[in-house]
Amino acid sequence: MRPVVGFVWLVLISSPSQMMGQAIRVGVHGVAVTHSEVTSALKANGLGVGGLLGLRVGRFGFEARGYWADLDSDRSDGTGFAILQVDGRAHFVVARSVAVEVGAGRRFIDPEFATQEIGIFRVGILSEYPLSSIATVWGRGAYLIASQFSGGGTAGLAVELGLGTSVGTPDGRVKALGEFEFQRFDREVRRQDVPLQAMVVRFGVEFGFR
Amino acid sequence: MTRRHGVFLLTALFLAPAPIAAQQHPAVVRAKAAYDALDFSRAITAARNALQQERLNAADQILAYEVLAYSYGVLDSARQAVDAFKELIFLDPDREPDVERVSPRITSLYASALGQVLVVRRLVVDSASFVAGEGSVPIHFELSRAGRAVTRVVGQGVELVVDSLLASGSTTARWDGLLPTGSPVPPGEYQVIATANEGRNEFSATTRLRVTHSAVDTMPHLTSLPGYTVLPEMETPPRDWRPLGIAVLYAGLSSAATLALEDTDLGGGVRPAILGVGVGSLLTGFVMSLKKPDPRPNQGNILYNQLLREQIAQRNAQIAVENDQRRRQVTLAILPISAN
Repeated sequence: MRPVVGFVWLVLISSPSQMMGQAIRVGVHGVAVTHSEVTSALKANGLGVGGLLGLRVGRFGFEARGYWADLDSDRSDGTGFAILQVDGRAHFVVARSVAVEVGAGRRFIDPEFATQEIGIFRVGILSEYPLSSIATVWGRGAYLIASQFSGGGTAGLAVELGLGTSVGTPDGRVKALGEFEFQRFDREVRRQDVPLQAMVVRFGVEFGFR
Repeated sequence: MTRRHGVFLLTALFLAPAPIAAQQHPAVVRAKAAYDALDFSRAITAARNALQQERLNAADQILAYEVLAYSYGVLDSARQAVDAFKELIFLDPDREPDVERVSPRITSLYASALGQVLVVRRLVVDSASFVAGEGSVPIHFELSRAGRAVTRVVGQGVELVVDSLLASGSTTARWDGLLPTGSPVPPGEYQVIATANEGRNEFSATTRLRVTHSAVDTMPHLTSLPGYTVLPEMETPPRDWRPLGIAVLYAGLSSAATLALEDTDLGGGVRPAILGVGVGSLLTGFVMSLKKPDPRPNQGNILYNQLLREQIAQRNAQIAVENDQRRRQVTLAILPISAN
């Protein structure tokens, strides 16, 4: 019951003008993914496609995004795999250009044991700043809590960092964007370091609706 | 020449008779002819006969009394002259001897007669136009001596007492053109009656006026206040490097943090991504710095305009209320009607 009451309270304290600024975003991305595990020998690169559905209601923003990429191992004898990553995020603007962000994500791997499947929760900061009426730059940083790995283990340090920029029409109907998202998991399994690292670069277009 | 004849001749020379207008009735014409011929005795006889034996209209009566009064005056018969002037004054209070053409003695006799009677003279109504209930029209008249003056307006089935006061000499009554109910009088012709009372003596003078109705002008609504202009709410700031600075800040912090957290043991692949997106961000900031800045809202001007619009709205609300009242009002135009 408390979360519901808290949510209603947050909606109520949001200013009416911002509440009226509702917007839906739909995006299509091309992605380039670099995935590493344990050592540089287990690095894989690949390309894929992604998508985004976003909703902004006043001070709140909700976002569902995902990508699928087919990765090849750098090693000639390595096996490739495919990644399907889905993420859900919600943010609340606490000050001009600063929002608190929470979310969850899941990474599926095909074939199943080619690398670690991961489940995460994130808590972080999203900062977005308009460079002009047509361009925006943003950065984000989050701590990934309670990371779950298909192979077991825990991550003492699990962080996510990102940088992006977009240029579009003044009314926000169409914009092109470029973004990178970096994740690092200092995973340990039975006191053995088995780190994971991933970098996702997105380029794409987004369409806004009111 | 006897002394009496000398006085008569002197009087006749100095007190030249005033010219008297031609009239229709033969008896009055005869009296006037005798007067013009300086045969004042015959003029007196003819005038008296005309007044006693003939049926004269008002104008002829006035002329006959005038011949009589002037002739008595010339012949030094002061009492008879004053009596004749009194009758003349009652018949036409506004008719006076022309001081340019008659002797001071006759003027003096006229003034003496005027002081002995109570009449209303020189009744005049000014032209006026005013909103009913917010103005009045002056009614001027003179009382020949002290008495109570009652001014009434009669017409269109209405009889109104405008004023009642003790007065002497010139006085003015003011009529507001309203009925006792407060409504404006109906349009049409009215008679103004000024009555002077003193004991049993009573004398009235009348004149006429016309009242017309028209709508009261309304005021136009305001779109601006004099001396105050609406200021531009959007202003284009001067071009600056702020977008590039912001881009450098974001790209620098994100890239530096990412590079710091990169586990180099896991191989490359991170730096090209940072470089690509970072350079893209910087380039975007650089282009946005070169681009003409977008107009920004000027909060001071917005507040000023808001206050200005509130003032205009308040004034227009007052104008609307005032116009609403004006639409229910009537402008009275009052014009005296000439006796001719």
